[in-house]
Amino acid sequence: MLKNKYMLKKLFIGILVFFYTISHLHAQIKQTQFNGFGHIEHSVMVKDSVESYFSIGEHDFFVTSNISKRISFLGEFVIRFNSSVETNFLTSIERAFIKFNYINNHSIIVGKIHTPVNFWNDTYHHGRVFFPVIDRPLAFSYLVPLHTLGTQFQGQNIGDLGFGYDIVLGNGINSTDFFQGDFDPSITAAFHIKPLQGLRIGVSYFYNHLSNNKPGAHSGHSLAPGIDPEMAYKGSVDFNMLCSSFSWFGKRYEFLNEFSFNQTKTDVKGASNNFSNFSYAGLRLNDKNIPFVLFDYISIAENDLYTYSTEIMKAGIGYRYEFNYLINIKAQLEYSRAKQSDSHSMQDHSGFSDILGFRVQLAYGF
Amino acid sequence: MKKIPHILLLLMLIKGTLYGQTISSEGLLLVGNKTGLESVSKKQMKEIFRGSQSIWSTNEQVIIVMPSSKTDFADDFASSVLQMTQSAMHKYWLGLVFQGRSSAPVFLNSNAEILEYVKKNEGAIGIVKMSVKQVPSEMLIPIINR
Repeated sequence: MLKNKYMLKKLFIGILVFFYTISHLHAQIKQTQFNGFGHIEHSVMVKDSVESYFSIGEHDFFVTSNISKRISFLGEFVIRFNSSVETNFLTSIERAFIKFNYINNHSIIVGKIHTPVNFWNDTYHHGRVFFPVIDRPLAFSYLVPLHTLGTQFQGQNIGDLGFGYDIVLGNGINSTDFFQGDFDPSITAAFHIKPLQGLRIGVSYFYNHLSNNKPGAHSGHSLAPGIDPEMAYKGSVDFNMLCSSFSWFGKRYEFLNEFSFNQTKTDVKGASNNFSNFSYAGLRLNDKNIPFVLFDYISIAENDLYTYSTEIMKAGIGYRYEFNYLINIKAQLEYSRAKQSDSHSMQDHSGFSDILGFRVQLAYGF
Repeated sequence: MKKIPHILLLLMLIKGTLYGQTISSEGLLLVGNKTGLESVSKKQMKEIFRGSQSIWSTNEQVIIVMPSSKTDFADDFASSVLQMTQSAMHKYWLGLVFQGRSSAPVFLNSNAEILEYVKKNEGAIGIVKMSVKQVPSEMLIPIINR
């Protein structure tokens, strides 16, 4: 076990050294670029008691390389805190793909990608410096299939409307990055338009039949708070998701709305209809100062066996100060309320839990 | 026959208003190498420098070359070509590359470096702040003033 961790660490350092060397070898023709992103937070959370702490966030190493005129590579490697490993930090490959640009603005991508179901997952990835608020929308913890390992057909900036498409065929939600026991491919079809500078409107559909429900196999597939993964339903699930995104990042106003409708179907409980909506609005006072508000809501139905029933609401106000494009600080006052269902709760008690939080995040790129 | 000089003068005036090699009051020039572009409108140019195209009609890969913040015309380039601040331009491009939707642009520190890079790399397109005489004519791409 220890040897494996040591090897993993060595492998990761090796990858960094390799890309660092490559970037210097090709510095003159700029074929390879190496960037990084990270964040540090301080939180004061008021629950039954008051908690106050600093956290070191994900640190993200990002590499792009033009291998040939039409073939490029993109890799994103993340180190994050994880208490379940001995070193307290876990490395992961978040994205690694080869892109073949076969004709102007049309490409085939093979590898591990962020599933392009909505604006957020297709745009911000792990770079907190790009996030307009401190956290991802709630749906990312329960519903959104964050990654897909497979093949993607991509088109972008087509015609006056700036039409784009992403068709993905890949491993399912219950796969790992290495293996999938059953034949359960996932399908994603996403379309967007960018008719004006700063405006993007998109819709997507994601489908995956899971022969067996494996919570936790894929990041983004988490169970509702209080549900024991060992006790969770292991049978088959039909997972359907429809998403719509509306984003406007203009010179003065910023607005983002992410809506998801999810239906999970099981033989035991039938079809369960779940949904989530995240809204963000910001006012760009000038180049650096952006006050903002956010509202986030997710509802998982009583008969859902994929995530299990829950209802969570989060509302917040905040302020973002952008020192420059590589560093910003966000302060966010937020209130969240989570409800668990009596019928499915595996906790001793069920009901509402309220949290009032004040968080400050320093996000940077390097 | 007397009208011919007038017609020629009129044509020259029309040509002068439609075509120009400068794109801002500071005299920025558009230069390219094997892009297949005979001329571009300001709107087209903005889209090109926003990464909306990946391959030229000549089959060459689009290589965007931009002035770095060390040049004295980076602000002018960002505002006159992309209609955004320099910081917003960097953020926009970093985001685009991070999304995997475009190859990273090349940022260079001087007119001479930009010109030299474009000259050496087929498919490269860039902006320089020079007089027309200093730029090889085959590299200049006229801008249609509309």
